Amino acid sequence: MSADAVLTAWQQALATEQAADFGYSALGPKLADPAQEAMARTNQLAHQQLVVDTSAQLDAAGQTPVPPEADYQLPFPVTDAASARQLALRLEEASATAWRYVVAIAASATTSATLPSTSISLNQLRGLAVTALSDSAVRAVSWRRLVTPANPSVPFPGI
Amino acid sequence: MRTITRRLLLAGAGALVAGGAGITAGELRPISGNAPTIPPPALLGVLATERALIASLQVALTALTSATGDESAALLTAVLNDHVAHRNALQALLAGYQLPSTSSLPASTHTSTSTSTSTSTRASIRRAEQQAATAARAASAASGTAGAALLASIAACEAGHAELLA
Repeated sequence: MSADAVLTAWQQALATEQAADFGYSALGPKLADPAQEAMARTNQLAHQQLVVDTSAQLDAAGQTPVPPEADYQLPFPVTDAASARQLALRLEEASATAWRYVVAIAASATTSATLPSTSISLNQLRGLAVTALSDSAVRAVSWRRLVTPANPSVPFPGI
Repeated sequence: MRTITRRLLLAGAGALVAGGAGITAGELRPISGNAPTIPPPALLGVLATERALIASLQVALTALTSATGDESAALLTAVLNDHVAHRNALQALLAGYQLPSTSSLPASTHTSTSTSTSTSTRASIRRAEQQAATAARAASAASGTAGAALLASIAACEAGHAELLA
């Protein structure tokens, strides 16, 4: 796997985080429960920080971070608290998938695939991606236990 | 205007690479004739931990009584099912190797303990999940292509278990 494939996966993760940030802005006002509203705000801040950090890291790697879209169309209408929770879960699952892909691609990179000298190393990127995957999985669990209480977890987050 | 469709949200998924639980053992098995016999220690360690966690959860579920309610049993059953899936995926990944005897497997990060109350059992399992998540993350960092993503997902799942058991 080449360095270009790693950078592409990294940019895709950034795009996913940008979409998550937007999604939380849309779903937050639909949540009626104060605790869930607070959780949504906390989660959105986490995604915003990931956008900032990932953009800076890509910039350091000599890349132009993909810009956020001006607007996004939600995958389904968010009209009430139930659909808001479902969207929140979908956003976290998508984030987990994107970062798991970064882990897989970075681990597959050949020894000749090196990131620019100004970038973090492949191993550092793998570590960051594993952390982001775990964090998304934890946030997803918090929403999934509300959406599908009988099945609060999945065995392989990111798949 | 870009649609936050499942495609965009899953844009990072791309093609699953080796290490995904959905890959069959045959795809991961080393090429016949050149098969390495020494299994990756990182994978063996996580497998040992999964087996230990399964054993602990089975003990905990047996100890639960109707007085503790169905909610705890349902949660622990869901957690147990995840670990069974982890064990099966790791065994599939290691199918091409000559596994050492059980007695020489790396030590698990978890040791089963018998506890007398539902609360202490839950806390004990939560600690075990946190330790397992940390170990799986380290194993992911030490793994090559085949194991890295799988171990990262296992670590993420166990971090989620700790959250559920809080």
